[in-house]
Amino acid sequence: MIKINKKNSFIVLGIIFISVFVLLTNRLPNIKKPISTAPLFPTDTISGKEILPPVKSNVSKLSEKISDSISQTEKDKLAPLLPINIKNFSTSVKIPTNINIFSVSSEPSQVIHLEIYGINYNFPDPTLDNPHAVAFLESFTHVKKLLFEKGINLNNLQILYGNRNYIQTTAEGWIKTFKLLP
Amino acid sequence: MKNFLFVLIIFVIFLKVFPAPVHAIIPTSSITPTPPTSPTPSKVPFPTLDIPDVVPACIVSGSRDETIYPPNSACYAEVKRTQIKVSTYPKTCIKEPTVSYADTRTIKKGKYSHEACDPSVVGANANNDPCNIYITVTTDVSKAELGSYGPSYDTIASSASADFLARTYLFNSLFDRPYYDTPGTPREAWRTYWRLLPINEQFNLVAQFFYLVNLSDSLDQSTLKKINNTKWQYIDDNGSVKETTVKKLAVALPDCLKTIPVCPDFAKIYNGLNRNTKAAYDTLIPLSFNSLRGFIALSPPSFPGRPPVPKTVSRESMPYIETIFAGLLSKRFGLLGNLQPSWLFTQSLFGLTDINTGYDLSTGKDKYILGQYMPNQNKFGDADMNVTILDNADIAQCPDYPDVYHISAPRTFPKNPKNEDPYHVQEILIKGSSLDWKLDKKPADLECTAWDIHDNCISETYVCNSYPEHCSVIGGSHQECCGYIVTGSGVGKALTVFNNPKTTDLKQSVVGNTEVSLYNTLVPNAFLIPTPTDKKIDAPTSTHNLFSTEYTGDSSVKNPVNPIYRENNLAQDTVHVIQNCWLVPSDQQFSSKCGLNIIAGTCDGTRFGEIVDSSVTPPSSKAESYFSSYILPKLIPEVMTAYSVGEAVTGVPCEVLAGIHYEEGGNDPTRSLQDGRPLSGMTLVQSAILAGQELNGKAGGEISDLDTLIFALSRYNGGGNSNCQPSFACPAAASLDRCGMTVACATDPGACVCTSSSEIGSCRQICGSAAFPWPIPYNFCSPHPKEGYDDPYAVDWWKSPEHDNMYLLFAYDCTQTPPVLHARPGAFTAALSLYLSSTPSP
Repeated sequence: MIKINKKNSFIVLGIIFISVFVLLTNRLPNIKKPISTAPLFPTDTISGKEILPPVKSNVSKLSEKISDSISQTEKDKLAPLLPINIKNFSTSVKIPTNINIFSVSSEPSQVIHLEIYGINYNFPDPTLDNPHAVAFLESFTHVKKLLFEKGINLNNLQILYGNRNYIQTTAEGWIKTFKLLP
Repeated sequence: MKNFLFVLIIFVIFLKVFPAPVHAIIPTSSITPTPPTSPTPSKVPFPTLDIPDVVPACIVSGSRDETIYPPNSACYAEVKRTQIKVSTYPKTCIKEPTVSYADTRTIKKGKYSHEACDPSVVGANANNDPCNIYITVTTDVSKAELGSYGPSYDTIASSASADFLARTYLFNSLFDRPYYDTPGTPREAWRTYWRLLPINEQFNLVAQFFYLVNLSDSLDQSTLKKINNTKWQYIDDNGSVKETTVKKLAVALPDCLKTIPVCPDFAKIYNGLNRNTKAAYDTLIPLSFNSLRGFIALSPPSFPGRPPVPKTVSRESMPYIETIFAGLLSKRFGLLGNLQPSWLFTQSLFGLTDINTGYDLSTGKDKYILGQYMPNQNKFGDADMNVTILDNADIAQCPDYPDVYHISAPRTFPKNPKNEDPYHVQEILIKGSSLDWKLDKKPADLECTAWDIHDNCISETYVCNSYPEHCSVIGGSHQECCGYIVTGSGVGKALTVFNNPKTTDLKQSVVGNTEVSLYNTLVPNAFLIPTPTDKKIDAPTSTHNLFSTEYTGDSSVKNPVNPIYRENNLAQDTVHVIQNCWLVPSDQQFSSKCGLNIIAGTCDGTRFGEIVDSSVTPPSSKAESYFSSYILPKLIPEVMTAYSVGEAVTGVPCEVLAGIHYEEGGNDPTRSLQDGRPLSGMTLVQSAILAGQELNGKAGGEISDLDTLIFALSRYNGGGNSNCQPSFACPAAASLDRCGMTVACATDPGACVCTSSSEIGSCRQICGSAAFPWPIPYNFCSPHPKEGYDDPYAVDWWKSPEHDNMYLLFAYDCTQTPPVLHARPGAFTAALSLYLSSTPSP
């Protein structure tokens, strides 16, 4: 019988630790990780690269600037004309755009979509060196004029410029800088 | 304590000497058993026959195709026997080529001028045969695939679990089994057949298999029943990859397990086998994997006065069908035979075509003819059937089949009678009287006719260099040139596809035979609802190519790529419904085929079919495999219901909503179709409806054609990742992982945000906004694709090669990142896969 004292207990613990370590290192290489039968969909990585998927536009924020009732009144004037589709609008920077104006019944009734396609809203700089900003400026001005002739004032409308938040942010930035809706 | 330490040390030494067996390969509680790590693909393919050379039919463009069947074995595409009764081959077809024709003709000059050939001049009923145009078109079927029944090598290698294969392929659903020998493997890993066949009969089956593999050549001459000496790989209980052949295994076995029937104490003998032999025995699939014969033939139209175009026939090698046939219908060992009383089984099978073609179930004799390629004679053994096949190649117009499946499957290696790549040639006649004539004018060229001594032009005249004649010929201006733009179109003849008659037998035995079919046996009469409908298989792919246009003008083929329609997927659909719907509680049914008839609509492909026509290019094989493995299992009734309601409300096809939801939120029922984040206050149905409405808005109205659908999907994601946008190598971005609007973005991804304008010194400020700051290695931008066709969000992995490698360019909003492969199918690609391969039966 070994007497258990402090010194011995260290030895015993050491042997146990080594044994367990050897045991684990011996077994681990033979244990194959099961393949998941329903692999998780890679929503946040592609080819190992982390991505941050875009966020949808925040419709509720639109009413912070223009009241629902004002927008609804203006939209009622516009509604008979919808949808409006302008195809292949030429811009001076050789970026042709397509412009769709429409409304979606699942969204608040006072909201309209004014979406200009062909522009990359990931280039938000509000300068005339930025061809995307220029293409937006010219396209938006064209639409504003067109609707003004029909008696529609875009200043009174809650407008979504896209279903992604970055598009909304970029478009509103350009409109503000270029004073498109004074 | 001393004893304890001693025991512990001995125990550790023991473990060191005898390593632990692999027990963790398979999740034991799973109902969807997953195979262990597959043998490395490079070790897998090799010929399975006892022949020294590579099987000729496996050679494609100088290299061996790595399609394998049986699973975990090797390419073997030769056919030992051909069913001789051609009338029993169910026929399908390949769409006839349609061509358009255009020419610029003279007014008066020449044999094909306006005055000589225009019906308005010569009279509509005049004999203007001399004005006929003949266009020669070739059809290449060398890329043909089986279309169903069993998986290809790629599909096996890329599938995450054997259960996914079982849902899709008839072979896997009934006859697959593990190629590893591991204690604790769930019994579901052995598919239906192996779980129903009594254990002693399984041993007898293996013994019979050895007998047929070892059949002497002389006996095989009269029976043609010899089975290939399959070579296969397996993983033993140490996790090592081993390989063997049937003959090698037979040598290692005691006689008890090789005699028919096996000896009474076979179980004891089996348990006494050494571990390696036992593993080899356990992983053998003792069924015939000999390929069967199919044909594609064209008997081209002939025209008076023209030399006849030769008739052509291609031989196909159809894998898996014989395997399934034998597994279902073998009198003693077949699945049906084991479910039915013997008298009923024998009596009820006389309607099957295989009996008509010579197979005698009671005697085991059959009267097939040899189908193998005989190199010495430079022909196939069944070459004498050419005439009969060609006489029956009588489908002139291939119908538009209403419901068509596309499932990735092995190739069938069509070869012409000399074992060369197959081309089918035909002439298409465009009658001169059917051409459309339109007068066309162009300004004449001003040409100098005289020069002074200083080389200055002193006299000019109008000439028609590149256009037929001066318009003055018909009373017009001499300063203009006139010609007639002549256009027309023509339709050729369909190619006839001769499906092997055993495909009919499979259908009959699984569902068609009202007395003994699997469906009628397993599904109680009280619940007999309409069975799945008979659908054709859309097998890739044939190509019509323009060869020549006689005698004048240019033409083009309007439908170059066409599926090869085949019989049929009813058997697979039915087994799928039995296994995944009837035998599974409703809340655990993960198949879209389990009757998704819901209140507001049905996801049956009708709406999607109105947008894409039947000639739409199917997704690439990797997209199909990915779909089967990762997307289809997520399409549970809850999400399919939401997509169906979305379709009913918005008109956007449920498949498209499924594709959007896949891209946004992995088809997770708790996540939105808008951005993949939690629904938060919105139901999934509401999210699906909103997505459909938004998509319609981006399309400019209801979506009615493919191009509109593609650009609408691209717009849905913002379109920023279009791969054909301007790009350049910006030096300031060269060493960075992100090019954003803030200086800090270069080192901190959290600082990569959209700001009102770029900070001075930031990558964006230096590189500007005119172009993407790294070269985009996408090579299909010339000519510039239509909107959306270069956007991975929409079309990644759809068409090969242009959509094989597409790139993600913005990993964060407002921040460019070096192009990285967007290695998954796009929203449209996923939608198309769902439409083609999983359209639920009505």
